[in-house]
Amino acid sequence: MSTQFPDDDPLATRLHDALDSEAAMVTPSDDGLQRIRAGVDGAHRPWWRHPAAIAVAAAVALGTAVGVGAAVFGHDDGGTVVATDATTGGGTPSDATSTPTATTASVQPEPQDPSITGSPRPAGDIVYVYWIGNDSGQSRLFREQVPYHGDGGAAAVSSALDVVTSGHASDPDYNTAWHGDALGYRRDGDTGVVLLDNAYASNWGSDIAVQELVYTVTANDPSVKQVQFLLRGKPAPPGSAPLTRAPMLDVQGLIWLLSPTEGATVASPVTISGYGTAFEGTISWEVRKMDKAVATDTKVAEGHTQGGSNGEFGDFHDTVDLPPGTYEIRAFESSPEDGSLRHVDTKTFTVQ
Amino acid sequence: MSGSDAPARAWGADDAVTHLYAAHYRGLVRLAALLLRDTAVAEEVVQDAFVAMHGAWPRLDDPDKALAYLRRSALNGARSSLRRREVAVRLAPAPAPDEPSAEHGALVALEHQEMLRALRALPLRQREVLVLRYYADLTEADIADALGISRGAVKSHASRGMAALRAALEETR
Repeated sequence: MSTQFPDDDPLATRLHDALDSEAAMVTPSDDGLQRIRAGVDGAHRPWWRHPAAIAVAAAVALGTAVGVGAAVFGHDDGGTVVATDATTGGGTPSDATSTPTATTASVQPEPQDPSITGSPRPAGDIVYVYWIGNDSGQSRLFREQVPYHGDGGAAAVSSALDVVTSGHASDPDYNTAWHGDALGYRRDGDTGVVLLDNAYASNWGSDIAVQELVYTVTANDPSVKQVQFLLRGKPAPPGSAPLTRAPMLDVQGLIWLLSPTEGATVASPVTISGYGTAFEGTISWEVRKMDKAVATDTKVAEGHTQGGSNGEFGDFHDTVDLPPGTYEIRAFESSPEDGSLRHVDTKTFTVQ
Repeated sequence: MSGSDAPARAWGADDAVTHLYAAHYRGLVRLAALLLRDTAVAEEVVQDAFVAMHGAWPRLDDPDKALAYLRRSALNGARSSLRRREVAVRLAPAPAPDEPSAEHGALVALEHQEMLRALRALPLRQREVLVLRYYADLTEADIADALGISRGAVKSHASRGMAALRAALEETR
């Protein structure tokens, strides 16, 4: 038994008992080992023909409001097994219309060349790493920058990919679909080539997972316009063309809070900055102070500033004076319909 | 938290699957089911984790590492599955997987249900941390590893989660 959490807390005991009793009602079926062995055997078949991969693709389509999947997978020959199943297998219209961001998504962006990115390229001794975060119930991409000292180009991209597979986002709200084995990388002309192994097979059906890597690769080497995934030396899915970035509005978190960074110690006045889009360009922010003694937090400052609007992303900036202490800041869009907070991004930071 | 006392060094990938299945399959399925509230999906997620572990075994070659790997990939699987389900669940809350069994005292069962309902209302990260801590009995370091987050983040999710639970339960008194 660990001593790192207060176990003498009666609430902890009650939680433990409740979880135990709930878990005791779960009885796995007897054929688990058989099904695992069948899965292992199946892994020797090309995995994109594997029923599990297709099921994952179909399930992802169910929960995906933005139609990136078809665009991403639509231009290949052999890989259409996955694409077809993903787009016709399970998606229902109600899924697409019931997502919280439907109003924003309905602002039709001008058809844009996805290889031209609106987000700035890294400069100096950092690399950009894209993570997956929850944006009002939808999985979208969020960016962090990580210190990096080394050559640009493929070396910088490899370093960024290593951070992705480490799974260590600074912001605990962010995650990756690629936590695990290292990814190989090389550049071939204007194409970045990412080498996968089977451990990531189930990611293939997820357009946001795929775009997490496409964004990370293209962000760190301006000469790379497109990304090719290879599994054991073969394009995956087979015959597929390299992928370009999906439109930002489809995959990117609508509001990124870039400064202060998670866990940073800063001086007052505190510079608030980020990148995003909101109704009429109005990005709201508030700073809350956590009171550990009573485990509540209180709003201590708030404000509005101007970011991008009408589907265009833009930088936003503001400043706030704060006494020393630890705070949480959240940037968000205040819903024009009901004033609720949408597209919230939060950071915890300390003022000296 | 070793899977078995068998001489693991001699294991091939198939042996590793067999041994770890015997020792940990049920526990991992239960862990995933607590987060997913769906035994069938929990089983699929854990089976996928074992299949992936089989492929990764030559690099792991150690039951402890393999268990950590299984836990991470099961949690990742559960999380993606939950993400896909989020919208549907919000519209129509899933029923509890099973009714409380008759041998439970009615009052105890009620208290458990109240607690579990409050737990389900928490953000996913807090829920994951609390389930890993109070069901799986993992240390802070193991939780950090399983979720790919820092120990500081584990601490803050745990304390926020417990504070929210306390507040929610007091509200219903």
